Amino acid sequence: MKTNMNNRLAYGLMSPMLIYLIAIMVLPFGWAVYLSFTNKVVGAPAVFTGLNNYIDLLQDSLFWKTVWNTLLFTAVAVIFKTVFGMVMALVLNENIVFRNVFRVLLFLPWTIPTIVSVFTWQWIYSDVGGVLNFLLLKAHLISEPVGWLATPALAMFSVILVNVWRGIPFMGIAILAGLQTLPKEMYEAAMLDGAGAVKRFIYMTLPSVKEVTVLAAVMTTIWTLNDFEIIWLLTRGGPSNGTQVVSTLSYTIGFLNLSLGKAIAIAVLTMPPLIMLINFVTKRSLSSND
Amino acid sequence: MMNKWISRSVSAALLAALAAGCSNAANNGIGEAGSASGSGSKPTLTVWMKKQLFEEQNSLITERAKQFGTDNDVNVNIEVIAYEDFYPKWSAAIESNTVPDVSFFGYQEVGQFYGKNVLEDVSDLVAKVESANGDIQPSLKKAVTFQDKQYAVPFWTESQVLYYRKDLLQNAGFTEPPKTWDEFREMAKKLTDPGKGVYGAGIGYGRGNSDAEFLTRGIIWSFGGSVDTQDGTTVIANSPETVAAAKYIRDIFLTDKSTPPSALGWDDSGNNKAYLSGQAAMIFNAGSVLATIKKDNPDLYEKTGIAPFPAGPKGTFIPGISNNLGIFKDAKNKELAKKFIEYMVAADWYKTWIETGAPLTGPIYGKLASEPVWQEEKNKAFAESVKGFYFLGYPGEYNTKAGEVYNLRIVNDTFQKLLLEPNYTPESAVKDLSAKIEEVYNK
Repeated sequence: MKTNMNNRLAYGLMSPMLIYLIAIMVLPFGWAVYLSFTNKVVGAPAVFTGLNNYIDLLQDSLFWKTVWNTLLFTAVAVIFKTVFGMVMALVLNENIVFRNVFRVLLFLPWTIPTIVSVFTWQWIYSDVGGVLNFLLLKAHLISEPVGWLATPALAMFSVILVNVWRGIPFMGIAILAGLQTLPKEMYEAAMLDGAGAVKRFIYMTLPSVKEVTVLAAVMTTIWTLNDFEIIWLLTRGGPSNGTQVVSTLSYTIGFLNLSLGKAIAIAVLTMPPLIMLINFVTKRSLSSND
Repeated sequence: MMNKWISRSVSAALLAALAAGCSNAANNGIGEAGSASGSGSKPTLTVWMKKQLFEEQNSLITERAKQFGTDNDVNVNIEVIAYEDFYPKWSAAIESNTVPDVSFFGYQEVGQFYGKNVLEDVSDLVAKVESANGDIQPSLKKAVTFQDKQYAVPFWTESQVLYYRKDLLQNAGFTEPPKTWDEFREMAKKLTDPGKGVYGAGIGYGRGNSDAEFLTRGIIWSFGGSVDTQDGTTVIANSPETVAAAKYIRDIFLTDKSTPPSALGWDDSGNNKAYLSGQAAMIFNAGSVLATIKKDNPDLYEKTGIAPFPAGPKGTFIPGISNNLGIFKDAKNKELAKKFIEYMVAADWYKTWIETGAPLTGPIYGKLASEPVWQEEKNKAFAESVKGFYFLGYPGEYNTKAGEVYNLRIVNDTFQKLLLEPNYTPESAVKDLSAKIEEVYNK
């Protein structure tokens, strides 16, 4: 009897959240999946077309190019963010002069609104008065200004650079938090035993912050896979679709061509890897509390 | 009924979520609520207006809308919105059946939404406006006419013209701007001096660049080619004339190297910046550049000459830009909306508004085009260009498929590829271009 009461109370307490989740997540998601099986365009009723959208996409070379670009963009960006984030955390963990000032400065890219940083980078990349071309010209590394956003390879490099610049602080702060928990005595003992800096890093630091680094890297991977603003504002997926990623393709098809069904099909196709990554993060982060 | 409501609500939520997830620059502080006055039982008219370059024009529009509210005892909720934000807003509004009563539309969108059967026939309103204020320029009316009916009321026009640096041309031995595309190429080559960071042709092909979409069509048309149809169904893009135009553009970029190194990554502001910074000696643009330099750089203003588009073997073809006010079929206050549009294009107030934005915003009425402001040396080409406007779909009539070809930036993408890949020939590019356009027309 008491158990039933407790159950009812539990369901009662849970119900607002449950209703919220159904209304905000489950219903729109289910509807979205349904629309991806239709020829829905804005302003016209949806007609069920089965797997047509998915078949069209899988036969479209642009879609596969977009998938490749997304993977390349994500993989390269996450690797560099992790490496530089680690370096940043190690430096900021040392007892250096003006450490707090450096910490604030290095975290700035993460706090600046994307729109501001992207416009700043647009200026940096510009061939008229752009600081990057100016420095390279002064250093005689180039003979004339480079169009950083004008060829597919350079544009991809440029958007990755901006993403890495924005993402390093998150990795840095996450790893730094892990580093702060390591006891100093352990390092002092290792030093007395003759372990050099490299050995201490490989055998003590790295294993100690492995968990937090992996978690932060996976979270960054999820965000990078979904990145839209940096690419849209810098290149709109060009030139020649050289920086077209899944999010920009979906936006273009959904909003400019008004083909909602196909745009959602693209989004749905990106769901499985994202679900796996989210599952990984939640399992890892919640397992210790079970 | 309930199902319909649920599906609409969920669709709107999805669109809103998609828009939020893909939120971009344009959402940051650009969209701005104008006025939402009063309450009570008065009807509320919702108006979506495109944000203008000149703040004074935005203020005039907002004040005029308020005045309409006062005069007609209605609430007017006017939102001044950046162009990039319109598509997500239109999409969400159509799906959730919460469309504004009056909305701005470029003529491409009028065609696109006419094709979706969501726009109100406003032929009666156009006739009323013309009888009260004089004739609307035929080329502008044509752009919003489908099966002899108008689906929007022209509000203002924008003309693309050739901007050239008089001083640089003179130094290079030229006394006049180019009259033909061949002269343009020759001058651009001679004006280019990479050592000084000066390039003759400020033409850009970044993805999404609408200037390039229009300019490329202008060149192709003047060579006798097309990227659409003659009869509305058979694509005639793959022709020797289109190939010749593609070769011409390729030569400017790859053979002569008369364009700045970053030009293939330019968005719509790319050529503006290149001209303002002195990097480009000649560009094609609407009146925004002239208005900016007149205000901020009088020296450059004096050095700037304005001329119509050069001519190709088949003559001069100026791609028209027409901006309009329209009413959705599902608008709640259609009669009030018509009254509002009529109020906004009343010639006495309209003349002040349009001239505030000169030469960027051009008048819809032929009689206003002969006002003194349009006779000024630098403004003349803008007003005169309107008569020679050609629209998407040429040589056929503008149609919804032509609008889709434009919106998908198929021309831009193909030319980007042509200019990026040395082994990609103009013949192959035009063949691919034609195939992609056919896909759209055959859907």
